Amino acid sequence: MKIKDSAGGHLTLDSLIDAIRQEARRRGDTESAPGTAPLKRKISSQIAHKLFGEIELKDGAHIREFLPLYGEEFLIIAYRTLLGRSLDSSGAQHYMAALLEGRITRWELLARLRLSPEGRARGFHLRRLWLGFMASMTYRLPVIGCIAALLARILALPQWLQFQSGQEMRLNHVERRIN
Amino acid sequence: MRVVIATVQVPFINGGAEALTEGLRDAIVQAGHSADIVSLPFRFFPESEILRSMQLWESEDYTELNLYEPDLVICLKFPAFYLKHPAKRAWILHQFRNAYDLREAGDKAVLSDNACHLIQEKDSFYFNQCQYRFALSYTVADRLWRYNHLKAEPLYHPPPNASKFYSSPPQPYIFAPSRLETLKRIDLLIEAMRYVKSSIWAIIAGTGGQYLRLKEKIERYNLTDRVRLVGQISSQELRAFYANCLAVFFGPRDEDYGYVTLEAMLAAKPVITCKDSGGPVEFISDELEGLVVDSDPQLIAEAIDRLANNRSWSITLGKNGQMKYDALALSWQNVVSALLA
Repeated sequence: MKIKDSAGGHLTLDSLIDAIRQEARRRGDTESAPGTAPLKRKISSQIAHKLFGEIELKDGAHIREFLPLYGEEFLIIAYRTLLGRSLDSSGAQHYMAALLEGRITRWELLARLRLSPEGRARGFHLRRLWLGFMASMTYRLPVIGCIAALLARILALPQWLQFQSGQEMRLNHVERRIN
Repeated sequence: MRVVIATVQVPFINGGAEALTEGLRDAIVQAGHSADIVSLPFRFFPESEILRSMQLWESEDYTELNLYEPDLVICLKFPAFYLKHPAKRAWILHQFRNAYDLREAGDKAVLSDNACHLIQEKDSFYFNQCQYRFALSYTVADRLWRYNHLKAEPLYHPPPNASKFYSSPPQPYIFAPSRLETLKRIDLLIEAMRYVKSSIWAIIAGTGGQYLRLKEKIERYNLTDRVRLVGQISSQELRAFYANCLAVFFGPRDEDYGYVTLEAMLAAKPVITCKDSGGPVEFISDELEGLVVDSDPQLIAEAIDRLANNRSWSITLGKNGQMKYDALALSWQNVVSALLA
């Protein structure tokens, strides 16, 4: 079926569809319409910013910037800082298990990433990384390591007590909510 | 405030509900809160899987989540409403319709009578536990009242990328974007095209389980030069097809909400819909923003001819729709304010 267009020419369904598709291409933007393509799950930019966007370490940053970071958050920032890329699933699984089981400390993990071929190629300078790493390694030495670890724990006691107090408050809060 | 959005999903199906869930999450974050989506897969067949999913959600207690407990939980879909939390609110996208209206309409293949009654009882029980109940639309709220005798406040939201829609002079085609599923009743348009007298085409966009059946129907009725299935299209193509069409056809059976209606209004196009289409009829009044007819192919064909033979009237109806959309003032900010109040 042909239909006369406004210019007096003849329009076919195919030519009409082509013209509309060209118009769409001219306007750019090629993502699929809802209901027509597999769902792509991703963290929205706002959420990514809210979660980790505030933590952007610059070359020459101090190792203490990592102190408040634990678990997956620590791994994500470590990967992004030292390797310049996102955390992959194998890395997440391997290192998370090692951290949770106490087989590796956070400072050892940072040193491992920094010494890896990827880390060396990126060459990120993290101040006092080696000091932290050496201290971690010291704890592994027989006798001396135990004494060093004990001293470190004693020195960290005030901070630990503050943390425990916070945890107690949170647990009380949870109990109230449950009851 | 820490907000969890609890829902279920069928992996790889990306429809309006998924767009809504992500839109809600982003809107809550933009309002300065933390929000995350907690989703579990939902198997709508066999019955034992549906019952298992209900038990699973019933056993979920979000009062404590590894010390990351949410201050508020918004449940969107069955059976996520069953979870436990003192500040649980429901924004009901839809109930499990196979246990309600679809069963009444004759679809008894999915659920036994016992399972059906169990779902209805549990739904009523857990909806009652919610601090507040909102519904996606009056259609959804009406179903909740009809079957569960519970009230819910309709809460409209804008379609995705609302600001990107535009309008162009109408070309001689009716546009019907939809997932190609039985409930969407694209057949009505194909059958109507047999009776349409004016020189006009129908362009159907989208994919789905009914694709081959609809294609076969088009061939059987010798409509291949009048009706075209264009399949999957990009969002930009979608907007271009809206912008250039004469009118949009959207005649599903008792649709919960339907972005198609709102998108047509944004593109200033009249909507041809059916009296039993649910959501679309909340926005479209006959001869004001489009045409509302019985779900009869011949009446739909008449509606198409009326618009095709009076283009200036068609443009006026489209502009009315655009003005109505503006007057509705749909925004995610309003949705978030209501849900978090």
